Amino acid sequence: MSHKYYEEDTDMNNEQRLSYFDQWFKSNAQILAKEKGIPLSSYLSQITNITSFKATLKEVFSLDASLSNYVEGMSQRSFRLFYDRPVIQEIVEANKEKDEEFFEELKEETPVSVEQIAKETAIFFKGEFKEKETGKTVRVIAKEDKVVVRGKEQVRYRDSKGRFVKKS
Amino acid sequence: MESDYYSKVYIGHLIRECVEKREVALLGKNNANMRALKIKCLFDIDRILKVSGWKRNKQNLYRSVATLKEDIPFFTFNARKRSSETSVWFKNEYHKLIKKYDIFLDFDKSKEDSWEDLIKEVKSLKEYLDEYKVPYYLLFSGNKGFQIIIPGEYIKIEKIELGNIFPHKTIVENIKQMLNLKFLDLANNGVGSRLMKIPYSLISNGIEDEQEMNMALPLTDVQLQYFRVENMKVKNILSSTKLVRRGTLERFQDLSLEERKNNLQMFLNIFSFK
Repeated sequence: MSHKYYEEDTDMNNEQRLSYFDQWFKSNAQILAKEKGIPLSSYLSQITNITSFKATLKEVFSLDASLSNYVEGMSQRSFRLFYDRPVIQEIVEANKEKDEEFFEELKEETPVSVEQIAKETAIFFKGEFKEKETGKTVRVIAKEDKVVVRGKEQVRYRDSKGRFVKKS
Repeated sequence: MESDYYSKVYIGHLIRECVEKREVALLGKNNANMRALKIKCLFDIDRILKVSGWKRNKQNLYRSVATLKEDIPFFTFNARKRSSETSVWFKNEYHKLIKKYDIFLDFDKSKEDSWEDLIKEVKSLKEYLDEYKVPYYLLFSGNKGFQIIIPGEYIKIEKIELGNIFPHKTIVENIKQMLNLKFLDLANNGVGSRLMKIPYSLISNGIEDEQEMNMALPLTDVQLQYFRVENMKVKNILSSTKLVRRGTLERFQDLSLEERKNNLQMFLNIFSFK
């Protein structure tokens, strides 16, 4: 089922929200281009019409769980409204004109988020920690960690306080 | 009266209590949507149902996740002029007025998913909340999901950035990621103007008869344990559950405010990996 949040934001002229999505589009596109080892201009050059924009937006937003969910539920009109945003239209126009300078400019302005990538690599589980003083077992979150024991690397789990915990 | 159900005084009081200092909105079919409404007394409920043509359109009732510093201004009910007034207010004023923001965990399933799987996942988070004695309440959302709400009074807003509320937005994202909650929907998570169903409101799902509609009902632990969607119809709830002064069924109300705040902080700390 599709949602109409983007349509509502547009209808209500909620420029702050709309530019929020513009920003995420730009910064995540930069990350993806970097991952693929191509210049941003080459990555964005695939956007020539609404269909190719849709595919690119889905890929770009897939870097963030929240945005990924958001884009999956976007209605057709929402995609069209996003496509009509100046930031996308400038790309489409630039692709028509093959204006490389535009992409260079965009590249300089876009910040890179390293945290997003780092966040994805961590693996979490439900965990338990037994308190020594009370003997009580409490639920915690266990993060997978690697420790070296007698020269061998082994998997261990730690909670947010850095204590060793059991995976439940 | 627009509705037999909403004209019941005890239902009116339950709804009024849940929307204090919050935006109220009616959204539904026929484009008969109205936002930036307020309910301060029972008369307001009847009035907004009338002006929005609820009898015809059967919109769902929503409230903002945010609690505001002051009452929403009075906007015209003239449908042609209203949105031009409210859109300016949303754009320029709304975010400045946000005082508190609930931690809102919205669990939704698709048609293919089973209720059992969804309930299992909701319970897996609930176990944590119960263990840490976190103040929360649990709501059947009226259609295909549940909502867990931790009231905003227990956690301060640190910043509002590009219309998003922090740390609330990050908290929900962390909970989803670290507990691997498949059904926890992050769409519009943390957005300042986000809406959620009003407890005890009707969810029409295209049904005309009020008695056959579902209700967005705050659930007890037992109701979740033995949940059946058929039991959420108005006629079944009214015949089986005493609703007078029932409230949201917030857990751990017997603890002091300070204890409840501390418990929430302890719970949030388990997700705070450096």
